[in-house]
Amino acid sequence: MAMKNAQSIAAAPARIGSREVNVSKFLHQAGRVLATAGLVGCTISAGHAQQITASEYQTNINVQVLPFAMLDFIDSPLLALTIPPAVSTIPAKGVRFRVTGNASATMTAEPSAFIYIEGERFMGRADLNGESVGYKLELRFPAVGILGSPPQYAALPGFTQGATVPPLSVDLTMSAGQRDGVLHMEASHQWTEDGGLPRPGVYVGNVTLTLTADY
Amino acid sequence: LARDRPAYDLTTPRPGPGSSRLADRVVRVLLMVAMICLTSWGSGAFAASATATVGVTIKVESSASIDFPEGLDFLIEVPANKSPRGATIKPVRIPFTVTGSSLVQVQAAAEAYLQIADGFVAGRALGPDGGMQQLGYNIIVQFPVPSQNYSGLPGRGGFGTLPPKPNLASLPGNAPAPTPALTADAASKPQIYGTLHIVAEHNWTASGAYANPGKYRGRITVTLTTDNQ
Repeated sequence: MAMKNAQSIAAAPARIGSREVNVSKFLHQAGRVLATAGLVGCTISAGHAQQITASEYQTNINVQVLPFAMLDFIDSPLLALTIPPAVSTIPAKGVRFRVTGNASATMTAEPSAFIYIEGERFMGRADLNGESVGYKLELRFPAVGILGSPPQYAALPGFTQGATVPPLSVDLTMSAGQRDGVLHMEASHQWTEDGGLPRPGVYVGNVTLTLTADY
Repeated sequence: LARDRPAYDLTTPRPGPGSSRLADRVVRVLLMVAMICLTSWGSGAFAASATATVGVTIKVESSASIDFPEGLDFLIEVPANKSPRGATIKPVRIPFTVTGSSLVQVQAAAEAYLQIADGFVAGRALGPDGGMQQLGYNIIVQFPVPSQNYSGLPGRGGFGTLPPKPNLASLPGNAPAPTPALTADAASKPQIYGTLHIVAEHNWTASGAYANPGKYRGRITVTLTTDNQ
Protein backbone atom coordinates (compact mmCIF):
# COMPACT_ATOMS: atom_id res chain seq x y z
CA MET A 1 0.00 0.00 0.00
CA ALA A 2 1.34 3.36 -0.96
CA MET A 3 1.75 5.70 1.95
CA LYS A 4 2.61 8.95 0.27
CA ASN A 5 1.46 11.82 2.42
CA ALA A 6 0.29 15.24 1.40
CA GLN A 7 3.80 16.75 1.33
CA SER A 8 4.59 14.74 -1.77
CA ILE A 9 2.26 16.99 -3.73
CA ALA A 10 4.72 19.77 -3.41
CA ALA A 11 7.80 17.64 -3.55
CA ALA A 12 6.85 15.83 -6.75
CA PRO A 13 4.56 18.27 -8.42
CA ALA A 14 4.81 16.93 -11.95
CA ARG A 15 3.42 13.50 -11.31
CA ILE A 16 -0.14 12.74 -12.16
CA GLY A 17 -1.74 9.55 -11.00
CA SER A 18 -3.71 7.65 -8.46
CA ARG A 19 -2.56 6.75 -5.00
CA GLU A 20 -3.96 5.02 -1.96
CA VAL A 21 -3.70 7.00 1.18
CA ASN A 22 -3.79 6.03 4.78
CA VAL A 23 -6.80 7.97 5.96
CA SER A 24 -5.78 8.52 9.52
CA LYS A 25 -2.47 9.97 8.44
CA PHE A 26 -4.12 11.95 5.75
CA LEU A 27 -6.37 13.69 8.20
CA HIS A 28 -3.35 14.97 10.03
CA GLN A 29 -1.96 16.25 6.77
CA ALA A 30 -5.15 17.84 5.52
CA GLY A 31 -4.12 21.28 6.66
CA ARG A 32 -0.88 20.97 4.78
CA VAL A 33 -2.78 19.90 1.70
CA LEU A 34 -4.86 23.02 1.82
CA ALA A 35 -1.83 25.21 2.30
CA THR A 36 0.20 23.52 -0.39
CA ALA A 37 -2.61 23.50 -2.89
CA GLY A 38 -2.48 27.25 -3.09
CA LEU A 39 1.16 27.16 -4.09
CA VAL A 40 1.40 24.11 -6.28
CA GLY A 41 -2.00 24.08 -7.86
CA CYS A 42 -3.71 20.73 -7.90
CA THR A 43 -7.03 19.03 -8.30
CA ILE A 44 -7.90 16.15 -6.07
CA SER A 45 -10.78 13.77 -6.38
CA ALA A 46 -11.55 10.89 -4.10
CA GLY A 47 -13.78 7.89 -3.96
CA HIS A 48 -15.43 6.66 -0.83
CA ALA A 49 -13.31 5.34 2.01
CA GLN A 50 -13.18 1.70 2.91
CA GLN A 51 -12.50 0.54 6.45
CA ILE A 52 -9.49 -1.75 6.73
CA THR A 53 -9.22 -2.15 10.46
CA ALA A 54 -10.86 -0.52 13.42
CA SER A 55 -8.63 2.54 13.02
CA GLU A 56 -7.57 2.46 9.36
CA TYR A 57 -9.45 3.37 6.22
CA GLN A 58 -8.46 3.23 2.62
CA THR A 59 -9.51 5.42 -0.23
CA ASN A 60 -8.26 6.24 -3.71
CA ILE A 61 -7.07 9.76 -4.34
CA ASN A 62 -6.26 11.24 -7.73
CA VAL A 63 -3.84 14.11 -7.52
CA GLN A 64 -3.47 16.26 -10.60
CA VAL A 65 -0.73 18.80 -10.30
CA LEU A 66 -1.37 22.02 -12.18
CA PRO A 67 1.29 24.14 -13.80
CA PHE A 68 2.95 26.66 -11.59
CA ALA A 69 5.84 29.07 -11.70
CA MET A 70 7.33 31.46 -9.20
CA LEU A 71 9.75 34.33 -9.44
CA ASP A 72 12.53 35.34 -7.09
CA PHE A 73 14.77 38.37 -7.43
CA ILE A 74 18.41 37.39 -7.35
CA ASP A 75 19.44 40.82 -6.10
CA SER A 76 17.77 44.16 -5.44
CA PRO A 77 14.58 44.72 -7.46
CA LEU A 78 15.58 48.27 -8.33
CA LEU A 79 16.55 49.74 -11.68
CA ALA A 80 18.69 52.82 -11.13
CA LEU A 81 20.44 55.22 -13.48
CA THR A 82 22.03 58.65 -13.36
CA ILE A 83 21.67 61.02 -16.29
CA PRO A 84 23.00 62.87 -18.23
CA PRO A 85 24.46 61.55 -20.42
CA ALA A 86 21.98 59.06 -21.83
CA VAL A 87 22.76 55.70 -20.28
CA SER A 88 21.57 52.11 -19.96
CA THR A 89 21.76 49.41 -17.31
CA ILE A 90 22.93 47.01 -20.03
CA PRO A 91 24.96 44.88 -19.66
CA ALA A 92 25.49 44.49 -15.95
CA LYS A 93 23.23 46.66 -13.82
CA GLY A 94 19.79 45.25 -14.60
CA VAL A 95 17.45 43.51 -12.18
CA ARG A 96 18.12 39.79 -12.28
CA PHE A 97 15.47 37.26 -11.36
CA ARG A 98 14.97 33.51 -11.29
CA VAL A 99 11.84 31.73 -12.42
CA THR A 100 11.11 28.32 -10.93
CA GLY A 101 8.28 26.06 -11.99
CA ASN A 102 7.02 22.89 -13.55
CA ALA A 103 5.60 24.24 -16.78
CA SER A 104 6.00 26.73 -19.55
CA ALA A 105 6.43 30.18 -18.02
CA THR A 106 5.65 33.43 -19.83
CA MET A 107 7.04 36.79 -18.76
CA THR A 108 6.17 40.39 -19.58
CA ALA A 109 7.16 43.72 -18.04
CA GLU A 110 5.03 46.85 -17.99
CA PRO A 111 5.69 50.33 -16.59
CA SER A 112 3.09 51.66 -14.15
CA ALA A 113 2.86 54.88 -16.17
CA PHE A 114 3.69 56.01 -19.68
CA ILE A 115 4.88 59.15 -21.40
CA TYR A 116 4.80 60.07 -25.06
CA ILE A 117 8.07 61.48 -26.38
CA GLU A 118 8.17 63.01 -29.82
CA GLY A 119 10.31 60.81 -32.03
CA GLU A 120 10.45 58.03 -29.46
CA ARG A 121 6.72 57.41 -28.97
CA PHE A 122 5.41 55.73 -25.80
CA MET A 123 7.84 54.76 -23.07
CA GLY A 124 7.84 54.28 -19.31
CA ARG A 125 7.48 57.35 -17.10
CA ALA A 126 9.32 58.30 -13.92
CA ASP A 127 8.03 61.32 -12.00
CA LEU A 128 9.26 64.03 -9.68
CA ASN A 129 7.06 66.91 -8.51
CA GLY A 130 4.89 66.87 -11.59
CA GLU A 131 7.78 66.57 -14.04
CA SER A 132 8.54 63.38 -15.92
CA VAL A 133 11.40 61.57 -17.59
CA GLY A 134 10.95 58.68 -20.01
CA TYR A 135 12.66 55.32 -19.93
CA LYS A 136 12.76 52.23 -22.11
CA LEU A 137 12.73 48.62 -20.99
CA GLU A 138 14.39 45.50 -22.29
CA LEU A 139 13.34 42.14 -20.86
CA ARG A 140 15.64 39.16 -21.36
CA PHE A 141 14.14 35.78 -20.53
CA PRO A 142 15.91 33.49 -20.52
CA ALA A 143 18.95 35.70 -20.18
CA VAL A 144 21.30 32.85 -21.06
CA GLY A 145 20.47 30.28 -23.68
CA ILE A 146 20.76 26.52 -23.60
CA LEU A 147 20.50 24.00 -26.40
CA GLY A 148 17.02 24.30 -27.83
CA SER A 149 16.15 27.34 -25.77
CA PRO A 150 18.10 30.45 -26.84
CA PRO A 151 18.01 33.85 -25.11
CA GLN A 152 14.92 35.89 -25.83
CA TYR A 153 14.40 39.64 -25.84
CA ALA A 154 11.37 41.89 -25.56
CA ALA A 155 10.86 45.65 -25.50
CA LEU A 156 8.02 48.10 -25.00
CA PRO A 157 5.80 48.29 -28.08
CA GLY A 158 6.26 52.04 -28.48
CA PHE A 159 3.26 52.59 -30.72
CA THR A 160 0.96 52.09 -27.76
CA GLN A 161 1.01 51.86 -23.99
CA GLY A 162 1.45 48.28 -22.87
CA ALA A 163 3.69 45.50 -21.67
CA THR A 164 6.85 44.39 -23.40
CA VAL A 165 6.42 42.47 -26.62
CA PRO A 166 6.58 39.71 -27.50
CA PRO A 167 5.63 37.75 -24.37
CA LEU A 168 8.63 35.56 -23.61
CA SER A 169 7.78 31.90 -22.98
CA VAL A 170 10.21 29.35 -21.67
CA ASP A 171 9.66 25.64 -21.05
CA LEU A 172 11.08 25.30 -17.56
CA THR A 173 11.09 21.52 -17.74
CA MET A 174 14.01 21.72 -20.18
CA SER A 175 16.27 23.13 -17.50
CA ALA A 176 15.39 21.38 -14.25
CA GLY A 177 12.54 23.77 -13.62
CA GLN A 178 14.61 26.93 -13.37
CA ARG A 179 15.73 29.79 -15.68
CA ASP A 180 17.14 33.23 -15.02
CA GLY A 181 16.13 36.48 -16.61
CA VAL A 182 17.08 40.13 -16.41
CA LEU A 183 15.24 43.43 -16.82
CA HIS A 184 17.16 46.39 -18.22
CA MET A 185 16.37 50.11 -18.47
CA GLU A 186 17.60 52.91 -20.69
CA ALA A 187 17.10 56.59 -19.91
CA SER A 188 18.03 59.94 -21.37
CA HIS A 189 17.79 63.52 -20.13
CA GLN A 190 16.31 64.37 -23.51
CA TRP A 191 13.25 62.16 -23.00
CA THR A 192 10.96 64.77 -21.53
CA GLU A 193 7.49 65.79 -22.53
CA ASP A 194 8.48 69.18 -23.93
CA GLY A 195 11.96 68.19 -25.09
CA GLY A 196 13.61 70.43 -22.51
CA LEU A 197 16.07 69.34 -19.88
CA PRO A 198 14.52 67.85 -16.74
CA ARG A 199 15.12 69.55 -13.41
CA PRO A 200 17.71 67.87 -11.20
CA GLY A 201 16.45 65.30 -8.72
CA VAL A 202 15.43 61.67 -8.38
CA TYR A 203 12.58 60.60 -10.63
CA VAL A 204 10.66 57.49 -9.54
CA GLY A 205 8.56 54.87 -11.32
CA ASN A 206 7.54 51.23 -11.17
CA VAL A 207 7.59 48.24 -13.47
CA THR A 208 5.31 45.24 -13.02
CA LEU A 209 6.69 41.86 -13.98
CA THR A 210 3.95 39.38 -14.83
CA LEU A 211 4.66 35.68 -14.76
CA THR A 212 2.20 33.15 -16.12
CA ALA A 213 2.48 29.38 -15.91
CA ASP A 214 0.76 27.70 -18.86
CA TYR A 215 -0.18 24.27 -19.99
CA LEU B 1 -32.09 11.29 6.75
CA ALA B 2 -32.12 13.79 3.94
CA ARG B 3 -31.46 16.58 6.42
CA ASP B 4 -28.31 14.82 7.69
CA ARG B 5 -26.90 14.08 4.25
CA PRO B 6 -23.85 16.25 3.50
CA ALA B 7 -23.82 18.31 0.34
CA TYR B 8 -21.21 16.23 -1.38
CA ASP B 9 -23.61 13.30 -1.36
CA LEU B 10 -25.33 14.96 -4.30
CA THR B 11 -22.34 14.21 -6.51
CA THR B 12 -20.51 11.38 -4.85
CA PRO B 13 -21.51 7.91 -3.84
CA ARG B 14 -22.89 7.54 -0.38
CA PRO B 15 -20.60 5.88 2.11
CA GLY B 16 -20.97 2.16 1.93
CA PRO B 17 -21.40 -0.21 4.79
CA GLY B 18 -18.39 -0.26 7.03
CA SER B 19 -17.44 3.36 6.54
CA SER B 20 -17.62 5.86 9.39
CA ARG B 21 -17.89 9.54 10.17
CA LEU B 22 -14.12 9.64 9.95
CA ALA B 23 -14.30 8.57 6.33
CA ASP B 24 -16.93 11.22 5.67
CA ARG B 25 -14.60 13.84 6.99
CA VAL B 26 -11.81 12.56 4.75
CA VAL B 27 -13.91 12.81 1.65
CA ARG B 28 -15.17 16.24 2.66
CA VAL B 29 -11.65 17.54 3.12
CA LEU B 30 -10.59 16.15 -0.23
CA LEU B 31 -13.50 17.73 -1.99
CA MET B 32 -12.78 21.04 -0.33
CA VAL B 33 -9.23 20.91 -1.64
CA ALA B 34 -10.49 20.09 -5.10
CA MET B 35 -12.97 22.95 -5.00
CA ILE B 36 -10.30 25.40 -3.92
CA CYS B 37 -8.05 24.28 -6.71
CA LEU B 38 -10.75 24.45 -9.33
CA THR B 39 -11.89 27.83 -8.12
CA SER B 40 -8.37 29.18 -8.28
CA TRP B 41 -7.36 27.87 -11.65
CA GLY B 42 -10.54 27.04 -13.50
CA SER B 43 -11.12 23.74 -15.19
CA GLY B 44 -9.90 24.32 -18.74
CA ALA B 45 -6.47 25.48 -19.90
CA PHE B 46 -4.76 26.44 -16.68
CA ALA B 47 -2.70 29.59 -16.42
CA ALA B 48 -1.56 30.65 -12.98
CA SER B 49 -0.32 34.25 -12.95
CA ALA B 50 1.71 36.23 -10.49
CA THR B 51 3.21 39.70 -10.51
CA ALA B 52 6.23 41.34 -8.96
CA THR B 53 7.21 44.99 -8.83
CA VAL B 54 10.54 46.48 -9.81
CA GLY B 55 11.33 50.01 -8.65
CA VAL B 56 12.73 52.58 -11.08
CA THR B 57 14.84 55.55 -10.00
CA ILE B 58 16.41 57.95 -12.44
CA LYS B 59 18.68 60.50 -10.87
CA VAL B 60 18.84 63.59 -13.06
CA GLU B 61 21.87 65.74 -12.49
CA SER B 62 22.19 69.34 -13.50
CA SER B 63 23.21 69.89 -17.06
CA ALA B 64 23.66 72.81 -19.38
CA SER B 65 24.97 73.55 -22.81
CA ILE B 66 26.10 76.73 -24.54
CA ASP B 67 26.02 77.47 -28.21
CA PHE B 68 27.81 80.18 -30.17
CA PRO B 69 25.98 80.47 -33.47
CA GLU B 70 28.66 82.80 -34.86
CA GLY B 71 31.68 81.11 -33.27
CA LEU B 72 34.12 82.36 -30.66
CA ASP B 73 37.00 83.64 -32.79
CA PHE B 74 36.81 87.28 -33.66
CA LEU B 75 38.52 90.05 -35.57
CA ILE B 76 38.91 93.59 -34.24
CA GLU B 77 39.15 95.98 -37.15
CA VAL B 78 41.26 99.07 -36.54
CA PRO B 79 40.28 101.64 -39.13
CA ALA B 80 42.86 103.81 -40.90
CA ASN B 81 41.27 107.14 -40.08
CA LYS B 82 41.58 106.73 -36.39
CA SER B 83 40.53 109.58 -34.20
CA PRO B 84 42.22 110.70 -31.01
CA ARG B 85 39.31 109.44 -28.96
CA GLY B 86 39.56 105.97 -30.42
CA ALA B 87 35.82 105.76 -30.91
CA THR B 88 36.01 104.36 -34.36
CA ILE B 89 36.93 100.81 -33.41
CA LYS B 90 33.62 99.04 -33.69
CA PRO B 91 32.90 96.56 -30.87
CA VAL B 92 32.58 92.94 -31.89
CA ARG B 93 29.41 91.25 -30.77
CA ILE B 94 29.37 87.49 -30.04
CA PRO B 95 25.93 86.11 -29.18
CA PHE B 96 25.41 82.86 -27.31
CA THR B 97 22.55 80.66 -26.15
CA VAL B 98 22.41 78.60 -22.97
CA THR B 99 20.19 75.60 -22.33
CA GLY B 100 20.11 74.04 -18.89
CA SER B 101 18.15 72.42 -16.11
CA SER B 102 19.22 74.54 -13.16
CA LEU B 103 21.18 77.63 -12.20
CA VAL B 104 24.08 78.20 -14.56
CA GLN B 105 27.09 80.47 -14.42
CA VAL B 106 28.93 82.02 -17.35
CA GLN B 107 32.32 83.65 -17.33
CA ALA B 108 34.73 84.61 -20.09
CA ALA B 109 38.49 84.80 -20.30
CA ALA B 110 40.96 85.91 -22.93
CA GLU B 111 43.20 83.25 -24.43
CA ALA B 112 46.18 85.60 -23.91
CA TYR B 113 46.72 88.81 -22.00
CA LEU B 114 48.58 92.03 -22.59
CA GLN B 115 49.51 94.71 -20.08
CA ILE B 116 48.73 97.97 -21.76
CA ALA B 117 50.41 101.29 -21.18
CA ASP B 118 47.78 102.74 -18.86
CA GLY B 119 48.31 99.89 -16.42
CA PHE B 120 45.38 97.60 -17.14
CA VAL B 121 45.72 93.96 -18.06
CA ALA B 122 43.73 93.44 -21.26
CA GLY B 123 43.07 90.55 -23.57
CA ARG B 124 45.58 90.31 -26.39
CA ALA B 125 44.72 90.31 -30.10
CA LEU B 126 47.39 89.80 -32.76
CA GLY B 127 47.69 92.08 -35.76
CA PRO B 128 47.86 91.38 -39.45
CA ASP B 129 51.64 91.34 -39.59
CA GLY B 130 51.98 87.92 -38.05
CA GLY B 131 51.66 89.02 -34.46
CA MET B 132 54.25 91.75 -34.31
CA GLN B 133 51.44 94.22 -33.65
CA GLN B 134 49.33 93.60 -30.56
CA LEU B 135 46.16 95.24 -29.42
CA GLY B 136 44.54 95.02 -26.04
CA TYR B 137 40.82 94.43 -25.65
CA ASN B 138 38.21 94.10 -22.95
CA ILE B 139 35.45 91.48 -22.73
CA ILE B 140 32.00 92.64 -21.66
CA VAL B 141 29.58 89.85 -20.76
CA GLN B 142 25.85 90.45 -20.62
CA PHE B 143 23.94 87.48 -19.28
CA PRO B 144 21.06 87.02 -19.45
CA VAL B 145 19.77 89.39 -22.10
CA PRO B 146 16.17 89.70 -23.31
CA SER B 147 16.62 88.30 -26.80
CA GLN B 148 19.03 86.52 -29.06
CA ASN B 149 19.75 89.65 -31.07
CA TYR B 150 20.23 91.93 -28.09
CA SER B 151 23.14 94.29 -28.66
CA GLY B 152 22.86 97.02 -26.07
CA LEU B 153 26.39 97.79 -24.89
CA PRO B 154 26.45 99.94 -21.77
CA GLY B 155 29.04 102.70 -22.18
CA ARG B 156 32.25 102.29 -24.12
CA GLY B 157 33.50 99.25 -22.28
CA GLY B 158 36.57 100.71 -20.68
CA PHE B 159 38.15 98.94 -17.72
CA GLY B 160 36.37 99.77 -14.48
CA THR B 161 33.70 101.83 -16.20
CA LEU B 162 30.76 99.44 -16.22
CA PRO B 163 27.66 100.24 -14.19
CA PRO B 164 27.03 97.71 -11.40
CA LYS B 165 24.39 95.40 -12.79
CA PRO B 166 23.81 91.73 -11.95
CA ASN B 167 23.85 90.75 -15.62
CA LEU B 168 27.01 92.66 -16.52
CA ALA B 169 30.70 91.77 -16.11
CA SER B 170 34.05 92.54 -17.72
CA LEU B 171 37.70 91.58 -17.39
CA PRO B 172 39.02 92.74 -14.01
CA GLY B 173 41.85 94.73 -15.59
CA ASN B 174 44.21 94.26 -12.64
CA ALA B 175 45.24 90.69 -13.42
CA PRO B 176 45.19 88.19 -16.30
CA ALA B 177 41.96 86.67 -15.03
CA PRO B 178 38.49 85.88 -16.34
CA THR B 179 35.41 87.99 -15.84
CA PRO B 180 33.31 87.43 -12.72
CA ALA B 181 30.69 84.73 -13.21
CA LEU B 182 27.17 85.78 -14.09
CA THR B 183 24.30 83.59 -12.91
CA ALA B 184 20.90 82.83 -14.43
CA ASP B 185 18.19 80.20 -13.96
CA ALA B 186 18.34 78.19 -17.14
CA ALA B 187 15.44 76.01 -16.03
CA SER B 188 13.06 78.94 -16.14
CA LYS B 189 13.04 79.05 -19.94
CA PRO B 190 13.81 76.62 -22.73
CA GLN B 191 16.71 78.89 -23.76
CA ILE B 192 18.36 81.94 -22.29
CA TYR B 193 20.54 84.34 -24.22
CA GLY B 194 23.73 86.21 -23.61
CA THR B 195 26.06 88.53 -25.45
CA LEU B 196 29.82 89.01 -25.40
CA HIS B 197 31.18 92.37 -26.51
CA ILE B 198 34.83 92.73 -27.50
CA VAL B 199 35.87 96.35 -27.17
CA ALA B 200 39.20 98.05 -27.85
CA GLU B 201 40.76 101.47 -28.04
CA HIS B 202 43.46 102.62 -30.47
CA ASN B 203 45.97 103.15 -27.72
CA TRP B 204 45.42 99.88 -25.86
CA THR B 205 48.91 98.74 -26.74
CA ALA B 206 51.96 97.89 -24.64
CA SER B 207 53.59 101.21 -25.49
CA GLY B 208 50.47 103.31 -25.56
CA ALA B 209 51.05 104.15 -29.21
CA TYR B 210 48.15 103.86 -31.60
CA ALA B 211 47.81 100.45 -33.14
CA ASN B 212 48.38 100.10 -36.86
CA PRO B 213 45.26 99.83 -39.01
CA GLY B 214 44.16 96.33 -39.89
CA LYS B 215 42.43 93.32 -38.46
CA TYR B 216 43.51 91.95 -35.12
CA ARG B 217 42.60 88.37 -34.31
CA GLY B 218 41.75 87.19 -30.82
CA ARG B 219 40.24 84.21 -29.10
CA ILE B 220 38.38 83.91 -25.85
CA THR B 221 37.31 81.05 -23.61
CA VAL B 222 33.83 80.88 -22.09
CA THR B 223 33.17 78.65 -19.11
CA LEU B 224 29.69 77.39 -18.31
CA THR B 225 29.04 75.72 -14.95
CA THR B 226 25.94 74.29 -13.31
CA ASP B 227 24.88 73.80 -9.71
CA ASN B 228 24.93 70.06 -9.22
CA GLN B 229 22.98 68.70 -6.31
